Amino acid sequence: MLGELGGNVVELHPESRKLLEVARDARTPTAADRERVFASLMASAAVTSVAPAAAAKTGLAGKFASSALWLKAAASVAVLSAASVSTFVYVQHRARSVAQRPLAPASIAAIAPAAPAPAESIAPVALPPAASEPSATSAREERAQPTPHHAVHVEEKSLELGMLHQAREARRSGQPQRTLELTNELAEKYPRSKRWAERETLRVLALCDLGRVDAARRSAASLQYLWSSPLRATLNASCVGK
Amino acid sequence: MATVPTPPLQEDVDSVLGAEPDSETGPRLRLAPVPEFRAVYETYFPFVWRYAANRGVPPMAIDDVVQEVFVVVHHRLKSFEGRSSLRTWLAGVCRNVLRDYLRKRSNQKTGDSLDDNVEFRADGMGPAEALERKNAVELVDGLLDQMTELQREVFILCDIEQLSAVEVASMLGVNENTLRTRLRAARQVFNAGVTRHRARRAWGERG
Repeated sequence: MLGELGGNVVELHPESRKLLEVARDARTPTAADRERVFASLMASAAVTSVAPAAAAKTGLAGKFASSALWLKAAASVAVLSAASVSTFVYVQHRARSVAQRPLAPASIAAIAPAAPAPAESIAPVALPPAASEPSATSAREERAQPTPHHAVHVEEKSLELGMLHQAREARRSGQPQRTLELTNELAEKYPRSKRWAERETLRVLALCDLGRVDAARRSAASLQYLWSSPLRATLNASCVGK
Repeated sequence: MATVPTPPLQEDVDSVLGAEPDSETGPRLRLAPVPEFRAVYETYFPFVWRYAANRGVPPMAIDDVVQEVFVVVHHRLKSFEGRSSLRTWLAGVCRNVLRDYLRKRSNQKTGDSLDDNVEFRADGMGPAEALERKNAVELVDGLLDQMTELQREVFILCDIEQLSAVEVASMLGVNENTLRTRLRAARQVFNAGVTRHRARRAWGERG
C-alpha cells in the first residue's frame, strides 16, 4: 500500500498500527452474527417473494395489478400469515421441547427406587410432583437449577481465582519464588484461561523481583499488544517497562 | 453440543430471494465468472460489517444495514462483469448503501440516541482483553470523528480494510495524487491523536 503510493505519504506510527489491529479484531463479527444476518436476509426475502405470489392467487391480479392499494393489502396479508405460522410453529416447538426435556438428576433420584438406606439416614421427604404432568412452574424451576457442568465450571473458576489471589499475596509478602511457582501451576492447569493476562503479569512481576529480567521480558512479549490496558501501567512500572 | 447450521445451497438462496434470469440485458461479455451469492456472503461479510461499523453505523442498526447491502449485492451480482475486483465492486455497493443510510439518519435524528446503552461484546475473553478492545474501538472512533468525511473514507479503506491504492482510487473515482493527499492528512490526524492519547495516559500514570 505504502509502496504503491510512494514516499510522500505519512507513515502510521507503530503504535497507531497496533491500535488499528486491535480495533479491527474487536469489530470483526462472529459466526453467530453471520448466521443471524443471513437468517434475517432469507426471512425478509421470503416475505417479499410471498407478497406477489399472494396477489396473483387472488385472481384479480390482472385487473388490479396496477393498484398500489391491492399490493399493499396482499403484502399485509402475507406478512400476517407468515407471522402467525411462525408463532404457531414456535409455540409447538416450545411445548415439544418442554415435554421432551430429560429430567434433572435430583428428580430422577426421587422417582427411581432407591437402595435401602441405613436407618439413621431415613427422613421424611416431600414427594415431587408426578413426572407425567410437567407444569410451567416445574419447568422453570428445573431450568433455574444449576447443571452439573455449570457447578464444575464455577468451582474451577473459584479455584483459579483463589490461586491467583495466593500468588498475589505471596508476592506482596516478599516470596516471588512462590508466586512464580503458583503462576506456573496456573498456566499448566488452566492454559486457556480468560485471566491469562493477569496471570502473566504476575509472572513478569515475580521474575522481575527475582532479578531475571531477560525471562521477564520474554514473558511480557505476550502482553505487548495490551497497550492501553490497566495492566500496562503495572508492566511499565516493572523491570520490563520502557 | 451445539450443532452448526448447514449453509443453504445456491439454488435455495435463489429460490427464496427470487432471482431472475438476466433476460433483459441479454448475453454480455464477462471478464470473470459470476460468483455464487453464498460464497460472496461468506467471504465479504466481515468486510461489510466492519466497514459499516467504522463508518459510524450504531450497533443497533448494523444488522439492518449489512442486510440491505447484501440484498443489493444479490440483485446486482449477475450484472457484475469483472471489470474491477469483487471487493472493490462490493465496497462501492456498501458505500452507496451507507451513504443513503447516514443521510436518512441525519435527517431523522431527534433527541438522544440509545446507542450508548449498548454493551460492548466480550465473549470468550478476559476482562483485561475486553477492556483493551473497548478502549481501542472508542479511541479509533474518536479519531475517525476528527477527520473530514473524505479523509475518513480513504483512511478506513486503505488503512483499516487494507485495500490497495488502485482499488480505492478506482472506487472513489479519484486519481492517486488526490488519494495520497487525503490519506496523508488522515494519517496525520490519526498519528497526532494517538500521540496525544499516549501522552495523556502517561501523565495520568505519573499522577
